[in-house]
Amino acid sequence: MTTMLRQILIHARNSMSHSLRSGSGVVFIVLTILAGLALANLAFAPIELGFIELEQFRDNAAQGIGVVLSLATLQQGDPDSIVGRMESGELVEMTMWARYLVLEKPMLLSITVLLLGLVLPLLLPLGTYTAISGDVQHRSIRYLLPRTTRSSLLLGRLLGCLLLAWMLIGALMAAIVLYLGIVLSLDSWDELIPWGLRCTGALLFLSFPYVCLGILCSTICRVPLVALFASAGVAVAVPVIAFSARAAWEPLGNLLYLLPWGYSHQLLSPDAQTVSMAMLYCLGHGLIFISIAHHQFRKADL
Amino acid sequence: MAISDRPGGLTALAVLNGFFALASGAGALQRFIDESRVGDHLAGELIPGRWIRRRIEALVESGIEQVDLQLLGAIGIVAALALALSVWGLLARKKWAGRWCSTVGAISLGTVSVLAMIWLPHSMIRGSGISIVRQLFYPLFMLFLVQVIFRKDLVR
Amino acid sequence: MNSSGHGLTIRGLAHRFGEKVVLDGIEWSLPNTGVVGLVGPNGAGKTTLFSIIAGFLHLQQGSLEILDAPRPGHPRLMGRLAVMPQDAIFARDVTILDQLMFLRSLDGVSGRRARIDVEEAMQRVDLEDELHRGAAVLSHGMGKRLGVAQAILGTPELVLLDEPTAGLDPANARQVRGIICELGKSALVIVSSHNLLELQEIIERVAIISEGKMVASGSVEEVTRRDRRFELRLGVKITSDQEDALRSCEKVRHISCIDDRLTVDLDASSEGGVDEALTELLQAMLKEGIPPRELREGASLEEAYLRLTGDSQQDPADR
Repeated sequence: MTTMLRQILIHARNSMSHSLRSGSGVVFIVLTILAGLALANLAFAPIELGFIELEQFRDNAAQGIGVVLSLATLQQGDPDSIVGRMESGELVEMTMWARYLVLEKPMLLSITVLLLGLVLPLLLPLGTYTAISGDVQHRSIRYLLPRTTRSSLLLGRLLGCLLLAWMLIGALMAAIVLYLGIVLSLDSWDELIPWGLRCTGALLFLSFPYVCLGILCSTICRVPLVALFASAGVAVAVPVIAFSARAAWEPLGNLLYLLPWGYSHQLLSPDAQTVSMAMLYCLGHGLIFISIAHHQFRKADL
Repeated sequence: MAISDRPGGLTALAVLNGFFALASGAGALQRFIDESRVGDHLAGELIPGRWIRRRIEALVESGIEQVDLQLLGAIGIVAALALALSVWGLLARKKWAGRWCSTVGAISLGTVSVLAMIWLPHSMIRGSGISIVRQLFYPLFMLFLVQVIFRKDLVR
Repeated sequence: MNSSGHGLTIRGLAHRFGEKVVLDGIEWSLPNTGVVGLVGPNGAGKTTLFSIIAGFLHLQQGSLEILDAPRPGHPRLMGRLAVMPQDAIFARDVTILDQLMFLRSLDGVSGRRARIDVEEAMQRVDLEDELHRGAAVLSHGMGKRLGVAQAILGTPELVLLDEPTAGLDPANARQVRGIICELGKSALVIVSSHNLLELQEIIERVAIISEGKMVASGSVEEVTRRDRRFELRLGVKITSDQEDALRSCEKVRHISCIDDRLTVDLDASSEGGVDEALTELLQAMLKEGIPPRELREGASLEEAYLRLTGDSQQDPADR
């Protein structure tokens, strides 16, 4: 067990160091940070440029977030009818939730994190697609296998990818919170820091199943680029198919739950129990992906 | 294609440096043009174009000196030149042209971003504040890469 | 080492890729130390067998005991089995030092000790000057030697080398052969090669594999008992009558002559063995008035290989 743990840590360190040295790794880091800050810019710009008053922005944001949450929880109807139902009090829970995010908590941080939750699933495959497939394609895995178990290799690579993703998310959130606190100063540090930590935690949990999905694709596909397109494609295809299929038969909308799309927003819920359940779902989803990857990798001819 | 054992990250960094060299050069050119127009404005000449005139007026009202704009432009030029040279240096894995030009470029780029945030009027920075954070991230990341990760690769 | 004193025991091994049977009924038992050759035509299943032993391919049928481990890829084998695969490549943009240090760290050795081991291994294959470069700048031969260096890193007990000298210049090939012989004193080394003359110099045991079946295995002496080749240098060029006379000897299976060089394949399967066959040949030569100036044993393994694999369209002695 000690040997396995030592090997997992060695693989994780090697994987992180490789990510920093490889072209795809550098692109992943730069793109994730720049895309994250660009999303923050998108959220901050209306207030910073003075296009809109703060109070009006809050109202609009509350309504927008309410619609997004309603759609994400598979409420029937188009966005216009959802707005009507929210105003009539039919979707009171969603309205309260949206108001919690923009009125009770630092609004710009909430919006940025919701946007990041939509974009991260597309960015994370960039950090995982070569994890296994890179070595399989060049057969350099054959130098490793006599010295390490397949389980150690897979879990080590997973840990390396996960730590890198978490470091990036941490750095990104730190930059955004610092900017909100120092430059914009719309919210006090007492509000920003706890909410910033909770949002960071939510993104860390959210990244787990997507990193595991990336590793699964990298294990199944022997060509790195195919693995990249597979994991990014699945992340995009699941919500698209779920929403299209729901129009034909409502239960098909539950396809959304094949990935965390169906519950990821619950990580920012005002209800602690809902948050805990969402965290458990994220862990469970990730564990399912990594178990399939482990099974595939153990019996694969390499 | 020539066979090379250059790490892929160095190639990616060289491409990014090229992009930032162009951006920094364009920014520096803009500062010199602004400086010249501020001079014209202070001399009582009419600046053509309403949007440009407003921009120059905002610069003058913020109390920025012409010499500050010259300094911003000059540091931007240094950043652009250093980054442009570092593209070749990184690809050829040169110690001076690669590691040290990247370092000079990163420091200059960061300095320009910080000074712009301090000196330029709020109306010009507003809405691009997080972009300045973005501009600060890249120099720091580049410094980390060339001074830590690729230190042993840039020795020729 | 396993309890039976065998480094490798294979029973009833079979493997197929889809419908194609690539290995069938392989039975092979090898001691704990020594150098063993694995030969066979292209596509015979040598690399597949290597890949199964190394744990790259899943075991489909049969059983393998490797050292004291009950199956390939068993955690007990980690760091004790070394492989030089034919087709694997090192990362092109990471220094060789870093890559080998990483492999050594997986064995549980790191830091200064690992660096010393890496430098030693690289010195043994004459590549110590390339430590700080990436594998992309290495030539084919240097890449082969790097493969050997990673295989001899540490103290492996079972080493699998797939075509270790292919593409090497004579000096480097000799160096690698020396390393293999040295390794064979303390470990079991299995070498796959098509250069049978070279292989015969270093191996003690051999297995010949053809169309997925092991057609012969044992000591070189046992496998080549029937097929002994000798090369003789003569003082004069022999006539066709003299050649016919030698060919009519009972123990001479094949004879060919180019200028003053005579190549003879003897049948050494009788009770008197190679000595009796050689005596008959030399007596016949002396009787014909063609005393040999020089005599040396040739590539008997090649003759056995060609006979056992049925790959004798081209007469080896004519080559």
